[in-house]
This record gives sequence, structure tokens and C-alpha cells, in this order.
Amino acid sequence: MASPWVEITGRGVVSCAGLDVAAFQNAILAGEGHIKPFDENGRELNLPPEFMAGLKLRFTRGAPVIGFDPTQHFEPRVLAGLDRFSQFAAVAARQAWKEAGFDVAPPVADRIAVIVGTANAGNESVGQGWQRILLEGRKPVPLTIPMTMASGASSRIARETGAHGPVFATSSACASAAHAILMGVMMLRSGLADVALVGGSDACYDFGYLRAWDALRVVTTDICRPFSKGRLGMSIGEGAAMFVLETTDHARARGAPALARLAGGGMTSDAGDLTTPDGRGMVRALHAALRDSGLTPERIGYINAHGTGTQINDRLEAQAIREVFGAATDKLPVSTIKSSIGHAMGASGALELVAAIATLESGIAPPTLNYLEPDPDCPIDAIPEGPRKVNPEAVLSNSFAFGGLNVTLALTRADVNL
Amino acid sequence: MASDNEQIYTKILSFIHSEIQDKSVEFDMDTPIAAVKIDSIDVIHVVFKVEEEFETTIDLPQDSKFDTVGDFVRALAAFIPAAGQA
Repeated sequence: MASPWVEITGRGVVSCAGLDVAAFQNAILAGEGHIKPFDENGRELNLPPEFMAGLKLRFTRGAPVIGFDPTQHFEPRVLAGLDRFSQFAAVAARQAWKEAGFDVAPPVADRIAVIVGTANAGNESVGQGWQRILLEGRKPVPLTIPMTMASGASSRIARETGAHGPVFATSSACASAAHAILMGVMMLRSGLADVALVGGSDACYDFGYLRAWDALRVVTTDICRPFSKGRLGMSIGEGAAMFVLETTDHARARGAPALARLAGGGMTSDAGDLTTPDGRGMVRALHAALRDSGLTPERIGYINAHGTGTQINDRLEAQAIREVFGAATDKLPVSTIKSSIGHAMGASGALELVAAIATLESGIAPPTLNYLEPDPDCPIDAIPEGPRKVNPEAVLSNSFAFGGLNVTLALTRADVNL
Repeated sequence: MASDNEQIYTKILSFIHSEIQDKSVEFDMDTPIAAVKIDSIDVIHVVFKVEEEFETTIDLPQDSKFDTVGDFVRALAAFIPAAGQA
């Protein structure tokens, strides 16, 4: 039987806090805030200027990816078939592939899996299509259909890496990346692949999408303040993060150093409401991750929370953590980077895994930004004061999605064993 | 009319050139279409550009086959109202 733990040997990032891993990690570990007023983001919002004035959004802040020039990464011929979410994913995957050393010595093609999680898929291409049809009286661009496919990013990455194994997308709203990552672990454990390129990607700065979020009344008109008294909701981010996962045998055989070890995870469903979570599903996901990884609660030194900044998520997540960890919760640091980079939807679990790896490597946990004062309904230590040295050997990372779809990932430092 | 057609043909030839992958290929109306190495995605984009440029709708039969670049260009131009019948 193969080892149940797998090695993370590469990672890549496209984010509002930087277009590579180093920039992203430095920003996150330093506690930088990248949620900005829209006027500061200006034309980089990727919206037609005429819509900026007419957006009529209640919220005025967001965290779009700034300065990403697709023409620097793709030929026009390729770009004509890639939605922005696929561009993000492919660029992040190239970084991960290179860090793993596979750009020089690629693995056996039939043994590579690619799984990319996305909540929105080619939402931006859909929006641009409607804009052309209804506002400009033109036809949608000819490759609109393949651009909107949720599997478009996975197919592009497969083409670039030569992956001939299992290649597909996962979609579970804000748990999409976490499901993709855990699906990669299962591929490796089951022997269906030796190497899995996994992660998540979403592009969110399409005007129709922003208007739709506004209509849902979940985005704060203030700024995202997770776990804090006075929190009013989330802020919208976007981006991608991708990882190279390998079986321990495969990584050791080629002498590849691990960045961290993915010990396992738990996946549960509330079987409940579309937008109101059920804390019992979160509790079961946390328990399932501990059980699957074989890690005892005492070994978990930090949790990277889902922490959206909404009243109900943060209350139920904090209480779920307390239910699983009991009195030890008082000494268990828990923070979220969603008040640093916004909620990147289907990419959030992947971006948060990059942050969790950075915490394992550096020993530093990022703070929960914009925290005003403790909320008795959120009985956790949310690291409000700034970056903190926590030196964990193992951490958890939560992704709890609309529709009651919950994933908790468990990972350890590269030198830790079961 | 002939000069109008010439202008349309020239425009369509420029669209083909902008879409094909190998820009070093030189071609004219008499070049065999196979020599241009135009793939199905290129064809979709050329058709789209002609539709946008000339505000028309092109409805080529699915099984259309062309021997030369000129056959393809003339087939597209036939859907342009301004073009005279060649």
C-alpha cells in the first residue's frame, strides 16, 4: 500500500498580492492588505470604462489581480481561446511545474493528472458575450463556448505539460480548489497517477458577476473583518494557485525536495441550505481530515480558516473549531487571509494552501486583518495583532462552500512523519 | 465591381495571413489551400472576421472543400452583399 501522505514539490500563484509565489508569500506573511477602493484600482478592474460609472454597486472595495498582462504569457492565437481564469491557472501551473523541476525532466505523460477547481469557469467570457450581443449588436467571439468550459484551464495545462492521465475540473463553489487538491491526493494514493497538478482558479471582475454578488447582499460595504465584532461580510478577490503533488516514492526516486507534505483531508456535505451553512458539516469535515491524515488534534499548531467575514460563516466555523479542539482551542491560533486578498472563490482554497505552506516553512502565521474587537460568538484566537511566530508541525486549511460543501486539508512540514 | 472584389479578396487574404500559425508561408489566390496549413480554428476566426468586417453572415456548408486559397476566398466573398458575383 502506498503511503497515505503525498509530497508537495511545486507551487505557483497569480494573485492580487503578487504574480509569483515569493511576492504572494511576502505580502501574506507581512500582513499586507490588498483589498482596495475601486477608484485606486482604476482601469485595471478589467471593466469597460462606461460600466465603471454605471456599476451602481453598493460595495466600493475589491481585490482584483492587477498588472497581469496575458500577452506576455500567451500568443494571440492561444489567447483567443483562453478565458482569464484559464490564463491565471496556466501561468500558476507553469510556476509550479518549474519549481518541481519538471520543466527540465518531465514525468511519464500517462502518469500525470491535472485537476483544476473553479466556481465561475469562463464567467468573464459569458459576460463579454452578452455585452457584444446586447450592447454592441455584434456576435460573440467564435471561441466563446470553449472559453467558458470549466475544464478549459485543465485542458490548457494538460497541453502545456503533456499530461496524458486523468484531466478534468472540479466545481463546488468556494471549495472547488480544495476538492481538486484532495482529488489529486486520492489519484496518487489509488495508483492512478504518480504526479498531480492541482489547484484552483477564478476570475471575478466581470461587471455582471459583481452586480450579482451585490444582489446577494453578502459583500460588505465596509471592508472584510473576519471573526471580528462589527463584521459585515466578505470582499471579492480573484486569482489562481496550482501545486505539483507527488507520491513519496516518486519524489524520493528523483531526489525532489518536498515543500510540505499533504497528509490528507476531509470532505463533507451539509445536505442542507444553498447559502446558510450548517456547523455540523464543518465539524465533520475537521474530524474527517484528522482521521484521514492520522494526525491527532494535539499536533495541529495552526488553522488557516475559511473566514469569509460573513456573520454566519465565521460564527459557525469558530464554534466548529472549538467543538473539535475543545479547551485546546484557547491555544490554537486561527487566521484567515480573506481580509488580505479578498475571497477568490474557487481559487481561495488553493491560495490559502500556499499561505499554509508558507506558515509551515517560515513558522509565521499571517494575521486576520481589519479585526476591530473580539466577538463572543467567535471564540477563537484570530491573530488580530499582526504576524505571529507559531512554528507548527502540522496545520489545517478550511474551505466551506455555498451549498454546504465542506473540505478541510491537513498538511505538515516536509520533515514530519506520521 | 472588379476592383471592389479585388479589395475584398485582398482583405480576406490578410485575414487568413493574420490567423495562420506559420507566418512565413507566402500565398496568393492560386496557392493550394493545403500549403497554407490553415486549421479549423483558423477558419472559424477568418469567417468571424469577414462577418464582422462586412456585416454579413457566412453559412458555408459543413462539407465544404477547397482546392486553392482563391476557392476559399471566393466562397466567403459570395456571402458579402457588396461583392459582385465572380
